[in-house]
Amino acid sequence: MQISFGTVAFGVVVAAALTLAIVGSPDERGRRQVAETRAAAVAAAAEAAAPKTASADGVTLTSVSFTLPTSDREYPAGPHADAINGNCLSCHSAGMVLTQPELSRAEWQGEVNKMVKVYKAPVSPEDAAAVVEYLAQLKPGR
Amino acid sequence: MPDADIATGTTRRRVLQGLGAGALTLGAGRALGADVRLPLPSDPRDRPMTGAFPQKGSMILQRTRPPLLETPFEVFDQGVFTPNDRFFVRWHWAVIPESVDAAAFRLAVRGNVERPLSLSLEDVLNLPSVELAAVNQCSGNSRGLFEPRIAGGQWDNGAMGNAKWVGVRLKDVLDRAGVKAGSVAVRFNGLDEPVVPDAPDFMKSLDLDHARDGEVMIAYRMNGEQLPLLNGFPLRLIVPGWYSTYWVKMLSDIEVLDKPDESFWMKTAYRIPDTPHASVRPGETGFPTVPINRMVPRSWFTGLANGAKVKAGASAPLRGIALGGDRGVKAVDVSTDGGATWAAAKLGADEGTYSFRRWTFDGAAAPAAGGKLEALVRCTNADDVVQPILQPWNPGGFMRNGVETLDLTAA
Ligand code: HEC
Repeated sequence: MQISFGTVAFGVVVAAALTLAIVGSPDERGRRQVAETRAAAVAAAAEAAAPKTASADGVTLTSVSFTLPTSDREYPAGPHADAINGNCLSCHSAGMVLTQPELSRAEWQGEVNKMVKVYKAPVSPEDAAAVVEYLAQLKPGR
Repeated sequence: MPDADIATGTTRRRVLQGLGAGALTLGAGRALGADVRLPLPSDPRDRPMTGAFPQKGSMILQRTRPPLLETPFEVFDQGVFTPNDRFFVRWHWAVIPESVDAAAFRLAVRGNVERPLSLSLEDVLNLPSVELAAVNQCSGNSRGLFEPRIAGGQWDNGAMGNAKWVGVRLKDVLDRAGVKAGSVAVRFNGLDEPVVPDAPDFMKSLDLDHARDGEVMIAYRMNGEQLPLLNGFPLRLIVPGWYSTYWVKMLSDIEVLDKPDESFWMKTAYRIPDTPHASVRPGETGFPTVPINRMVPRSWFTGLANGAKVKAGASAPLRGIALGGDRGVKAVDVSTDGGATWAAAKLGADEGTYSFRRWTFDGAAAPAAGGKLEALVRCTNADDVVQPILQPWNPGGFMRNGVETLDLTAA
């Protein structure tokens, strides 16, 4: 199922209205009032929060909006950790590097070169050397 | 632990999950707790499980940003179709729209055409619809299992999924735009973007004839629902029988080319050796390459995992799934003598050429005296392409399809 802001806003208002209904006046008139309030709130919420859709031919596609998780994980401490933390976290989280098998220094050098030449990572030559130094000492998973 | 610390700060997402999908764990900011050890040949093998991604249930976290989420293998025992909330996720660049407005979205069709188009989703929905079951498998599915090991996404076997796709034929869309004479290829681009300006945007292309074969489609439904954002909402290219790299997500731009596509993701990345089985020796250089293309047959055991105990003196309940690749599954065979002899497994319902197919086998007798039982499973497709016993090797870690082995203990 997809969840849109509309659904959420709608859900929140319904939840509020239900709470109202539960804690409201116990007498008959009060209950009716609460019911009316709730109906109005639900209708207003549905109207205001109606998610934008595209429909045709019996199919409806509903707009979606989410926040994707980010990672605040840094590379394990060690000599030149500042170089890798400063240069190798902007395009992908550390997991990209720390799930790699043990690679030789030459292979790590190749990876860093590829990041710079192919993917346009803005890394100074000094930092690139420091990152290779760090990676050559890395024992991922141990 | 890779990316164990998902920085959430995303109360909104939790609210969304809590209200919208009862199955999702509330407040699963980091992980569901049940970390897994993948059967890779060397460390690092451990991965966290995560339930923190929108519209996704419990997944193996390979990388948080941009997300690489692997389907836990037990999901493939539950049916031939992979539920949308367990379907694997794979992005190259981290600039991924978090919101898509269905009313404002437009799909451009341009380049070497008579009438450039800007199609709304309604325009797309109004074209004749087609439905097709097809497996979507990452080129690098199972890369983590190669020896010698290869840099890249370190997947086990779960970078794949099977779905019923509903959409429109790419051919119909191209015909509406009117492909001009002299066109040779069609390039596809999605809403995702590189993090730095000059880096190569992720785009893929198909030869014009392939693009117009009537099977390549633009899907707007997946297993009866709109696509999850992370699987490409609102539109995704479906290239039946071909690896997932061509199945461009959040498809927003179709460009007809009058010369071959020279861009990075076709010309340099996702290339395989132009050799039998795309096979080369580790360290070998100087071989010709071609863009990765058709999928090759594969089969897996599901239900029982390596090391499982079965009843001595009884037949082991072997079952699993098979994939023909770019052709249907013709046969699935099982061997319990290391590949010397093979016996046919029973095939389940045929959901179509490009779908997973279930298989079961009741002829594997577990030794009455107890001990080991080793089973092999092998798929042959309708073109008589058979899975190799020995896994070939290529420097991209692509197209893994060697015969799978299951080691059981009879007791
Ligand atoms: C400008 C963006 C960018 C920066 C900065 C960057 N990378 Fe990458 N990196 C990428 C892309 C794009 C990929 C491929 C991602 C994919 O396939 O999902 C990648 C993949 C990788 C891989 C996996 C193997 C491969 O070749 O695909 C490794 C290892 C890696 N990067 C290491 C590094 C290191 C070390 C640094 C710091 C010097 C770094 N990266 C900085 C863009 C970048």
